[in-house]
Amino acid sequence: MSAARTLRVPGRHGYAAEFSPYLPGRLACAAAQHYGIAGCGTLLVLDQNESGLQIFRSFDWNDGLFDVTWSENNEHVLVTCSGDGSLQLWDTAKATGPLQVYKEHTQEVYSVDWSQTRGEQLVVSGSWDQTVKVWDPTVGNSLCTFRGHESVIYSTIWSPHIPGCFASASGDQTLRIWDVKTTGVRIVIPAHQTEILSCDWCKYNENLVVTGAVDCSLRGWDLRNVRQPVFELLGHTYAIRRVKFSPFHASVLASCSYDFTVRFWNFSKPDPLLETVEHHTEFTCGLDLSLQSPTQVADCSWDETIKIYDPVCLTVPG
Amino acid sequence: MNLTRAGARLQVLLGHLGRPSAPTIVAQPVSGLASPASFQPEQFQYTLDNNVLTLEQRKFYEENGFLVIKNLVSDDDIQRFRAEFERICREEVKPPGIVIMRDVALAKQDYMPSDRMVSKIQDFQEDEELFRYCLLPEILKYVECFTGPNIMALHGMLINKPPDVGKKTSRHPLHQDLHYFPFRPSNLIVCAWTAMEHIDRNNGCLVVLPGTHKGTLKPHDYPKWEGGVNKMYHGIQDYDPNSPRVHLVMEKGDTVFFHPLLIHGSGRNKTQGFRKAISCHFGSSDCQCIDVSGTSQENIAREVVEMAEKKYGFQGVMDFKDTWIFRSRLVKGERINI
Repeated sequence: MSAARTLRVPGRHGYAAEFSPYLPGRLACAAAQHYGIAGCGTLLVLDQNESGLQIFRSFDWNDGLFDVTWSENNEHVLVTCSGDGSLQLWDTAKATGPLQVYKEHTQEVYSVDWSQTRGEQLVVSGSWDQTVKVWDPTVGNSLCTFRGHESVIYSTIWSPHIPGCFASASGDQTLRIWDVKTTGVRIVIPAHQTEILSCDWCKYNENLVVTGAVDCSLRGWDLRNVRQPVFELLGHTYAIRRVKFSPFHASVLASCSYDFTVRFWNFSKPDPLLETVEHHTEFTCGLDLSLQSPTQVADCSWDETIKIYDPVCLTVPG
Repeated sequence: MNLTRAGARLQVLLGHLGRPSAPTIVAQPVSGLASPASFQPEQFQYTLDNNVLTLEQRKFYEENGFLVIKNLVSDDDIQRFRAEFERICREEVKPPGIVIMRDVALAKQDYMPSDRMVSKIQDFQEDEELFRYCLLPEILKYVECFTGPNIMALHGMLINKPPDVGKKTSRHPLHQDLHYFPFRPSNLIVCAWTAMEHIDRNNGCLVVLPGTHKGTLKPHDYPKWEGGVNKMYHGIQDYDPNSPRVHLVMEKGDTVFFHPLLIHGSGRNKTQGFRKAISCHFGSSDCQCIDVSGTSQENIAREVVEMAEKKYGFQGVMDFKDTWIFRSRLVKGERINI
């Protein structure tokens, strides 16, 4: 791996990192003071250049920011979510913000995701109040609220294939698949016997979803037959906080963990662990793979650093 | 931001750390047709993931079937339970449904209402003061590690072990508590047993056979002890007398949590004083009731039904599982099955 480009942000602990879908080299990071336990939050918008990572814009919020997602119809717009139960809409073309605050959740919002299918512009949020809400960012109120989870919700992710379809992962140990058009849950999968902190959709198979959990395992689920996982990946030594499928390789995914590591996997290989990256010294919570470069990865950690790098396993064809 | 939210967030994050490291092997991918055996084997069977027990405590319970938590119940609470016990013995308080038992040896003496006559109080769910024991948050937070979040109080007891009059009737033969209960699965049931004073081998402490919770429910009946044995004190018919055993010396307020299949009993009270303890069996409300006909539990079921019919006046209508559901109370979460 070539040296990671690193930015240190004193007093801010990284919770999420997302590459812009429009501008190569632009990265958003949601961060919180005091490890997200108390205090304020900051949205950092960074640019890469020949001298490293630079802050392009910084916005503060009065509670910890836990996730961030870029708009799919405006290169300057992002949405974050926070510990006070609200979502915030920001515009990097303006020096101050936010443009809009959406306040309906009654507890911490840990997940926010903008739909990529482009047929509609919808944002989905998951909260510790055990509800999922779907929003049109141009409207101040949520369009719909989804109930059914029996514990805090940690992750809500749109399907990149099927409009109006999203997955949610929860402390109730289930992965659920929902359809906006029916307002009800379509599939309930008791995916782990521990809390599930993250999930993601495969970019090349509309039926494949991965979960990452407190039991240190990643499990792949074929939604047509959920009696048992189609793969299980072991190696992390603490809870898996985020998992992302590669945009470029059908069977490649990455995960980050409270064990401080980021691991890269190919679930179709006999030995699926491709690489373990150990460049953080605290819980590693944010992770994203670039849409523009097949090898570029961004992550962020509670050690107050944000890094962009090219892991060896993605640069050398495996 | 307020401090209660900070506490809640810290608690959630600590919950994420409550699991020991997974083995650092890398598993093979499995096809959709693989058998469940391809899953990583469960490391824990008798405890649930929680953020209360340390890893060492959890391993100890998994291996031994019991866990002592020192100084869990306060002196004030114990004094209140003692005072209520005395009021019940003097018949100043008469909670409905309560079962007052007398030692088989003392019962033959002249009757006079006094705490010296009573060896045990059971089914105190309608006594607000004694039932407070089953609602103590410090008890329930440990119970949840074994039952999960939906908790039923199944059976409360206050034990007043009398000084033995020389006939050794104050012994409780080695037994498994599951013999008395039609609830399953047994791994979602736990007994909390709190010493109300210093308890050791002189006044008859609990004796346990560590690891026997991993076995099965054995047939029980009255032991053939000279001098008699107290009513419903069934014991295991066949067990290895040389099994290693542990005597649980406990101070006032210490509480032992133990599995319903753990073989245990208590010895004679060789002192002149009474020895008091208060206990409750808790189970998940997810548990199911089974029919014990044709099983080794049929003998105790018959006795329990006879006693319940006598007490409540339901003639021939009640069965064993009804007698238990009738007395169970939800103490946390939601009532589901039982």
